Amino acid sequence: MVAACCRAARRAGVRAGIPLAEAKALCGVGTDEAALPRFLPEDPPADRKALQRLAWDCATFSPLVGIEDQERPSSLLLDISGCGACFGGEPRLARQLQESLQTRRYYVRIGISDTMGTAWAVAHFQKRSQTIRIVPAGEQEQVLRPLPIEALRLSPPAVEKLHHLDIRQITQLLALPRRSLPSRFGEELLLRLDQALGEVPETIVAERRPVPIREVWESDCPLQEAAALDVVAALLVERALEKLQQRGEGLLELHMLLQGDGESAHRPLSLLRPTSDGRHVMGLLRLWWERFPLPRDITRVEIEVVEAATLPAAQQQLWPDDDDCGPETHGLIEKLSSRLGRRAVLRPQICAEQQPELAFGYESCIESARSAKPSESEPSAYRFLLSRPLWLKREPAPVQVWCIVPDGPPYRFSRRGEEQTVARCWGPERITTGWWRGTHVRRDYYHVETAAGCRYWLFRDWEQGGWFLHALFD
Amino acid sequence: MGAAAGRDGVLELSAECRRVLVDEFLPHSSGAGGLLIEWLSRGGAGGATLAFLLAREEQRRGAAVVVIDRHREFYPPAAAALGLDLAELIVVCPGSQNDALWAWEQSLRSRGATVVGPLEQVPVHALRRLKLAAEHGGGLALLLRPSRLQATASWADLRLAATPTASPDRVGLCRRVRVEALYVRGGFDRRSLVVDITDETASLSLVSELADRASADVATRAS
Repeated sequence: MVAACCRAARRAGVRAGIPLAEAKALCGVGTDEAALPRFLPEDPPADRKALQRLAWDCATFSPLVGIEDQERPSSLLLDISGCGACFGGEPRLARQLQESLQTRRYYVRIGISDTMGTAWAVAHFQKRSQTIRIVPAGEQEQVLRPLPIEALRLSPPAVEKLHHLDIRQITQLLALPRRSLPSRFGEELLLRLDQALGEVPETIVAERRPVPIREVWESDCPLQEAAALDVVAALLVERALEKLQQRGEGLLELHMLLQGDGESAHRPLSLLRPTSDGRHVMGLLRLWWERFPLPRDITRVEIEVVEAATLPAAQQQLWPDDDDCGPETHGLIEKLSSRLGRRAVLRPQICAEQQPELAFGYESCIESARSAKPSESEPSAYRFLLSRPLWLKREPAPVQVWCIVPDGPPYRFSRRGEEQTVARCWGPERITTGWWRGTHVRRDYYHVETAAGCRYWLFRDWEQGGWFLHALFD
Repeated sequence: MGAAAGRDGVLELSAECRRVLVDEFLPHSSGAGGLLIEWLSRGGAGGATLAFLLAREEQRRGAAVVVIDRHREFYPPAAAALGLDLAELIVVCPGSQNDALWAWEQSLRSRGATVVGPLEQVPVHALRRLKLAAEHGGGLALLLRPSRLQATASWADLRLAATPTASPDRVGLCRRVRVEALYVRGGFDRRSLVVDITDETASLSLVSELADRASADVATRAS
């Protein structure tokens, strides 16, 4: 089932609650004309974590920021009492808050009122064209009346019961005798109504940014040997992991700083999955200082936990599971990334581009593992890629080519001073693209097989003029 | 014997590719891991394609496939068209020869990984380390090396030379490659076989070298 969708999907007719197959059909998956949509699995813990980070960042606008108390929260609650003056008024505060979140590509709707309930209601149920609504003091009831009953944050069974009685707007609720509401609809309805009107106060549970974990070792007696550094670093890592474990979290990323004798060395260490295994972390750190020059006479060692995450629950085993290959790959990626750098251990991705050198991109394995996985590309995306080489030269090499007719296929070419006669030739495959990037690419590609049976990928460049060798079909 | 079937432009392989390209030469290690296989070929010969087809088969069996790409010339769309799952592929781009050898060794030590990539001339003891790493991890090392290194010593279990031959007279993109075993651990025969790789119909077929030149497609193409 679809949990949520973007505006483009809504324009195509997708709505929350419809089956996934129907959503795919509406988005045109499988047709050549449609852009490939992305279908991501719902991840409520990750969503909550993201909302939590936003709450921390919104501390710029209010000292008290919380997350709504719902099973799947999607709203932040800010107490801006007295804060408007710091921003030149509440409207300016709201606009700056909106811009701040929009720069992170969030779609934001803001409601400001004396009560949390009314602010929530106007933020969720005002007109689409109005993304900021400020309710004047004392006008909560007037603003709430025309809104649907869902604006009162009622549970689905309560809403269903009211709909069954054809009560769909708050004004209809307010028309009913107040004393009869609890007996007919339970305590929830009256409580929510009173909260929205300000009769019952509500509190915001603040989301506080956790105190950063930083472990430091300093001494006037410098460290001069790797073994000594090993001991100190292991101690600091152990302390940091202990503090994380107390929070129920594991390490995801740390920064290590070594200072000494007027120089310093800094190294970030990223992990695929949160860990509390000190030996594993130390193994990765050692890969760094075994390879890179370190300051002499180290007088300060600092470890800062940059990112942590909840440790997944795992059943302890007496014997290791030989069939489980997953963690081995993760360990390999972490090891390779630690020594070679995150940018050297990559996952390839196909891009919808005709120009061969732009038809793919890379993402670091660690970032790829942390971000949500996209759906697999349809096989039809590779339909015309069968005739592509496994190794593509970073820069096409100019070659001298002879053709029988001026614009015709090659029949002989010269490479590294060696002339090759073309026995068979397939093409041209014309690629014309890139005019919107400012560099128009017009190439005619030929698969060329020599008398010896070797296969080459040549192209005639109509923009620059001349022939180039782009790859060998190895 | 295995042959390939095509579907949606992906080079489909039967599960017998390894049997055809490796186990036939190394019968005593049929299906086993911990092998170092060298593919020696000149540029444009097709050796890398056959190596990646083997890697794809290993990936289907659950192995992690790691490509060591020191010169950043690996082209993922072609690997995807061969049927490799890019979401499970790891591409390592080391900055130096030492880092490349280290990456090879660490990847092979990882349980059951298949590691593929070009490897220029390296000291013999480096190949010995790779062999030990492959034995430790139980995976498969597919070293793509230039044919001029045929005369150098090696610790590989199997050294295969891929030589292009004139493609059969067929319509469409088709290439014929002769695979010759230059060295087989524990064996003495210099055996060879000839395969046809047809891009457009996405098929791989073993060519019969008996009498007549016509190639024999041994298994049917799947619909």
